[in-house]
Amino acid sequence: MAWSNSKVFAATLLDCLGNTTAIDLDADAVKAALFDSTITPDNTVTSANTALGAGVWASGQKSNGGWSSGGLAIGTPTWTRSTNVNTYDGADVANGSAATLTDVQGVLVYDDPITTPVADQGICYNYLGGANAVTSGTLTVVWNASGIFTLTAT
Amino acid sequence: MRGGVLLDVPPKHWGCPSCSWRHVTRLAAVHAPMHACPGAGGMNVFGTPAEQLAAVHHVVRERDDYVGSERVQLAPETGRPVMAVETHYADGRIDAAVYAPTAVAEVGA
Repeated sequence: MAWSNSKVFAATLLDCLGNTTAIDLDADAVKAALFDSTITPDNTVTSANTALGAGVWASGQKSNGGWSSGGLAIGTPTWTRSTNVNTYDGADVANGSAATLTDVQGVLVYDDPITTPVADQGICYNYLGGANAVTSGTLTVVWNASGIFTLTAT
Repeated sequence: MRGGVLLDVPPKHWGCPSCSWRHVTRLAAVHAPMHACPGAGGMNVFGTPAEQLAAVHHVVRERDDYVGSERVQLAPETGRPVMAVETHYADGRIDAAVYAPTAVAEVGA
């Protein structure tokens, strides 16, 4: 198995709607961390296993130079609604100082400041579609115009 | 000599190795403007400092994997799923703009 899709963690949605976690999407310092092809993300894992450093996210992280371990903050986050679609979006994420990275396959989006009941709880993951690399350069994650993730009430 | 505030930030000239786009910015912060590049299928790509244009080229990389139900980013002019646009410099450096799909969730009865 490997990366195959981009999903929102079901357990995190439950925790947010059930007031189990105090994640505040458009106020918290949400971060994006890079991962390689050795992992197989699953959006049906427990809350604890969505977190950076837990479950599949315990290995395979890619960091170098300006792409520091733990990833980089997503600037100007927004959480908006249009009819039945809620959209989470933010500024593109790039390293400020040079990095050399290989086999960057996907991104874990997680809440960095949250510490309880799950620290660094994952929100979603985005599959980049293959192995990406930079050499002594800048890797910029350009979010889709449709947002980082959407939550549709059907 | 005393320190002071720079009132008039010098212009920075930008261009694109894949199209005729040219741009000038006056920002003190680290930045790189983007533009929809016809040479990259209409994808939004970063500008290159004008002084480096002669020794730079872009490589457009289509998605390696199946699109399936993924909400990927398509090149507006070709409709093809683009994974990244790389900027290759003469000294071996490579930058990349990687285009993330939108993650999705649905709730309902």
